[in-house]
Amino acid sequence: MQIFLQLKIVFEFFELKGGKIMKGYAGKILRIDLSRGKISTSPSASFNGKYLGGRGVGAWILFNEVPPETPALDPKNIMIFGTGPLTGTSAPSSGRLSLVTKNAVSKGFAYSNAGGHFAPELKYAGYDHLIISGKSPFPAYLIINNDTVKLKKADSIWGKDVWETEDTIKSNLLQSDLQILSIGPGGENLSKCACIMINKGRALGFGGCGAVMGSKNLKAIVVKGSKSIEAADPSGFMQECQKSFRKIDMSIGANFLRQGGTIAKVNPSFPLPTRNYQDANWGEKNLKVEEKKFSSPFEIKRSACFNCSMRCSHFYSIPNDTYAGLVCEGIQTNAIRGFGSNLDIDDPAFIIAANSLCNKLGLHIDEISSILGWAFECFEKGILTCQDTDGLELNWGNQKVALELIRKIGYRESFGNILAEGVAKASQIIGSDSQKYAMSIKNTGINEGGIRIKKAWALGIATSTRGGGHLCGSPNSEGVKSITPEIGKKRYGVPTAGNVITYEGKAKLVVWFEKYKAVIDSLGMCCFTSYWQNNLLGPNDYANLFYKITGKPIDKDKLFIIGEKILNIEKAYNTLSVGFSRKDDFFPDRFIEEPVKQGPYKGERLDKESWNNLLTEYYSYKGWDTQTGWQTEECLEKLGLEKLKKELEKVGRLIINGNR
Amino acid sequence: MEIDNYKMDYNKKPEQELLDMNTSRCTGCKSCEIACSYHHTKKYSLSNSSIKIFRSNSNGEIEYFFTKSCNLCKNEQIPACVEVCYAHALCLKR
Repeated sequence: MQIFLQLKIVFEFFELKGGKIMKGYAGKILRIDLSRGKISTSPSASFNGKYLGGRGVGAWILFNEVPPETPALDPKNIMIFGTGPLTGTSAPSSGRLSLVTKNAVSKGFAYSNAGGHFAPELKYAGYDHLIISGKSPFPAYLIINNDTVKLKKADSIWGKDVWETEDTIKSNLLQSDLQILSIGPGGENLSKCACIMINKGRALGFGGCGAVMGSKNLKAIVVKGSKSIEAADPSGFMQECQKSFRKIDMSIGANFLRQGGTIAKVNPSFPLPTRNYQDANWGEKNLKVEEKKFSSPFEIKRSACFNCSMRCSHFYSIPNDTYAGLVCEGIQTNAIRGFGSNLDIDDPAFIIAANSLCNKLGLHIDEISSILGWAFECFEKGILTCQDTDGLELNWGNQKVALELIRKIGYRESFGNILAEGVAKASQIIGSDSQKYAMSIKNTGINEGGIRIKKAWALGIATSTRGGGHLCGSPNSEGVKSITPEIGKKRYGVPTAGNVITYEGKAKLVVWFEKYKAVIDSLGMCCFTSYWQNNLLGPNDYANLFYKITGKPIDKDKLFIIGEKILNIEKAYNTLSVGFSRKDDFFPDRFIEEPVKQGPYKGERLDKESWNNLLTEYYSYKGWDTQTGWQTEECLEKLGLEKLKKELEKVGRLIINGNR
Repeated sequence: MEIDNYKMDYNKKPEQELLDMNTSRCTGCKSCEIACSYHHTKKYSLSNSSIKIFRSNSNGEIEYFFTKSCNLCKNEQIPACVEVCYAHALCLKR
């Protein structure tokens, strides 16, 4: 194979230019300009000092380097892969990789986060962040081996699926001990549903980031590193890590996750969306997809990401029948919602098969399941017929057709070419009544349970800075028995945090959680060991870990201010690029007009007036304008985000003294 | 070889007969590698670890190796890798 670009970094002056490297960090940003074939490094200290790392640093770099009008698939867009100060250390579950880029689906801001073992390896290679810009003249892949960085032609892997790609790279390089992220045919064909896969089974999913990588002609990134990370207070940090692990072991959430990941939560009353959200309860069928139906006969191995005691990522293998021989890692409730209840298919083997197909083609299961639900319902309502669908009959429960559609989306084949645009755009293309059935928010497909029921959960999705998804501000506390009013008040200042259907206190709860989550993402940690999954790592624990690794004292309040800044940068980028405002924080009418039809929450729906009040309360807590939902001069001044103020003012989307 | 293979002195059949690894329990989290590197260097890395875990990304199967630098944490009561193993896959047979 031909290497067309290689850099051996011999001299490193970055310490002189960029100030002293803070302990816990690798100290460098690696930049690859694919258009110019230029590889360079720069110090990361000034960014990390302000925004911790990972998602926070990514947000600030994107804001500064990618003009908001840039199309996501344009070479001018950049991808910022990031780690945090705790990545690759003995801190629990410290293997998360962040990605920030322009969103190919919402057209605004995108961040995504995945586990596995890639992020620690990147840091051991000597880099906190990796920035990819431009577009390679031909398909290429990147090899990072400490100070030696190579770009190689991807002739032998282009066109291959994610699994084949990883195997081929390892065999070509005569090494198996490598960490690899790659795109599959989905990303190569610029499907907006495409994701980036790490270690074959962990996905950077949101924002069509697989298509962004595909648009850069970049097939894979391989990393291997042999450097070390040092704590400012080595023994103090080790003690803090041991304390954190003990806390996790004492948590209720850990028991659940160790049992089977988030699918252990599926019980008869667990809200699952059915037939493209026509209902929010699957009744008796829940029992057919509960955890024990997966563990036996399919579970072959319990697996974990880097330095994690949760082992929530299990390997499933199908021994016989239709899908015999298929193996898939890490089924979570998203797959049960998206491929099970959403399509009315109560066969665990199919759910494993659909998830596995998405992993191999490099497709994001949330966007895929949303578009499948829409297509099936349009077929049911007669909006789509066999003439539109290449002769396929999209009847609820049809496993074969669902898998065929996933494949067509990956390769943009015929009808799949429309579906590959994502649910919002596809429904615009088909037109007529079909848009009514597109379950999306900010153009992003919805794959969620309990939107009509859990009000804070819903608010977190609606106000998510990456378009949608529950991993921005949605708390996982609603309906959890152990979150009593006392605990709710003590942790979040919200006694109703554990209450399911009430609107009361939920805006405050989301404001708390989104800051908390932004901090966790920026430190390089996994939210599964935090309060988010009812585990015991709270903000003070993260502050202590940060202090012991970096030597820089910090407390919960300071961390939360950084979290708030990060969220405001992301929000401003959305306002600048798409102009998202209050009207974009509403779910499709179905969630307001059609109540839950059965089960313990029968009759529940989002009440329009109450939702309006909830949004107003949320914007008030944020210091944003309650009428437009846009940021105010006062709020940005308070946070010291002058640059945001200037940019928003230029386009008339900054609210000054209440003048709209 | 395109990429440095930084440790080649693996003992596939460990001399460390006193350490027992149950590969079906091992989750591949590498916490033992981190603990080992910390024991040797007071820093975190994978390259300074005397134990090496390979996880197959296709089926989760585990292979493990020890390097010659392993001395079972001579001055400690329990080796660092055994002490930290969250999956209780590593055991001491003494």
